[in-house]
Amino acid sequence: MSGKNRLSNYFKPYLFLLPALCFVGLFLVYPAVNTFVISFAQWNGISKPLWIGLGNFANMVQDPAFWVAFKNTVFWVVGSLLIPVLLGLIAALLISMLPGERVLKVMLFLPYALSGVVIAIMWSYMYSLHGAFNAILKLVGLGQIVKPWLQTVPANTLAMIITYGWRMTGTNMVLFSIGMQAIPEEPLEAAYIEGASSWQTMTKVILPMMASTTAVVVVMAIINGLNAFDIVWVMTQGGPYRSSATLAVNMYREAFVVFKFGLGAANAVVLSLLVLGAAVFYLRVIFRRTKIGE
Amino acid sequence: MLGIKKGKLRLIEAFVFLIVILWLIVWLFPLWNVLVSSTKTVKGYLGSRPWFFALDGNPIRQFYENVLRGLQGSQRGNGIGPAFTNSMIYGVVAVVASIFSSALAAYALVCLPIKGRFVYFVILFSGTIFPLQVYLIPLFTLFQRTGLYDTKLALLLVYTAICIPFCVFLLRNWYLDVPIEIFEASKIDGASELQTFLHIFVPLSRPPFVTLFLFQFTWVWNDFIFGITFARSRITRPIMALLAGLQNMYSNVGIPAVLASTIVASLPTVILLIAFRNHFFKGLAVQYGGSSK
Repeated sequence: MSGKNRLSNYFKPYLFLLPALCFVGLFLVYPAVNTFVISFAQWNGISKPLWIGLGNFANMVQDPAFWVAFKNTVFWVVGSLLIPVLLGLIAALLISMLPGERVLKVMLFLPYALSGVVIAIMWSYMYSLHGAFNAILKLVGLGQIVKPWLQTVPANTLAMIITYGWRMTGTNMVLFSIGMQAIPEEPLEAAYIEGASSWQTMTKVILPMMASTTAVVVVMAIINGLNAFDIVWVMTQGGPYRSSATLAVNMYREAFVVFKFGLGAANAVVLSLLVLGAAVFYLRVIFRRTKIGE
Repeated sequence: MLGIKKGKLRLIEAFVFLIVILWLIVWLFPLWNVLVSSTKTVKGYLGSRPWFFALDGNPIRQFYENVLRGLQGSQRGNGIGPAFTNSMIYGVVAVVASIFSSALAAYALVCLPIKGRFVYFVILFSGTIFPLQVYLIPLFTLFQRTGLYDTKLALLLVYTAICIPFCVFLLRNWYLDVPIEIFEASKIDGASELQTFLHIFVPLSRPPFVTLFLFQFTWVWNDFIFGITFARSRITRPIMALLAGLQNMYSNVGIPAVLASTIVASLPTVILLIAFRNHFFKGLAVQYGGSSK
């Protein structure tokens, strides 16, 4: 074999990697690194960037709007743990006891196919002053608490978290029921023979064996809560007066409404660090189950 | 599952059934509300109960009119019709491109002699971790500088790239379970690496290809933030970006037409979900748990 041929044989395998690496490198890795760099600059996207060190971060933490968004993001994280994760677990347990499991599952899972925008539009009309939500409140005799929910602080954040819960409960239910199906028969039979009640079986056998599923679902809920954007942007744009913004919404506003790219990038960096912190755990699970294949 | 003894706990079963039925009624109410509202005139919408049809006209005809108004938009030409086509193009082209380039990469990472293959895998996989916000500013300026801003090509490139990490992840897991003998035998028969990939690995990958297509098509179709950031005009905007604009206060198509449009915009993904629900369940299991089956 000639030297040239051997050389081309050496590089050939890398050609298979090239398309994917180009796409990911140019459109994902480069922008992520670049955002980090831009976060140290004052820049409107047109003029020359002015390097100001940590100035953007200093401005950010001195801005009360940042802390409002931070607090709301914490609410989103807590809310997306309490509502869709807990309800998803309960739904998975209840549905497993019933005939017609599949039909019920698909019905609860249906919102997964709907986009954040579609869901946000549906629910923002329901929450409006003359919408379905208030009509139901009047019907059940709670007419005195009727209000335009999305214009009221802090009810608007709660209302949006409920919307999000409606969207994600089915997804979490599916994940929990996949986890439940993976439980081997023997411990369940043993519990049955020992005469354990169904409550005991559930708390002592089923739930502990679903610990790893639960862990991943919880971490993903935290990450999704941190990233809350679509629903907020469509339902309130973070208003009124930035009262319902999240970190992701603030980032978008700084960058693409007032065109402070440096400040927007700083927001993106802070958000990324929070998400990465939560993701470390998720990655450990994923990589533990992924063969290295060397 | 819970070891319920037959006969003894019928009552509990009936009780659970009741709870689940009530739950479903609450859960499906928003969908019912949208469906009913989209059969009303603007006047009917304001004047009737949100849980029932307005009785001032023919609901089916009114629904049809609302759908048309949503597709065509008001006089300002803000209908979702063109955006529906755009998103079809984005969804199909970008997802096929990303599945194909990911399959090539996954095949190379598993079967071909590559030094530091795990590093390449981590680089390719890294794109699933960051919040989307981290990509926006550099891509926006890149597209502005290269004249790609507000073109279909820009969105196709971004959508292709964002789908690759998960595709590589799933396909690599799939190929790791393919017996190495298949690869060796094909090599002995004198097939090149590319021929082995095209004639053996691609046919073997049908199940993950289907799962990936459904998953990533749904992702691209439902994307909002890339759409509003990189596309501005009607000929490029994807469906969700346009739908959000249809709802805002400057639009005057009326609430029932907006809601009818949300139904139209959700049809493709809802149909896919119902038809291929098991693929969706499988895909979720992989995404969240890392198992390949």
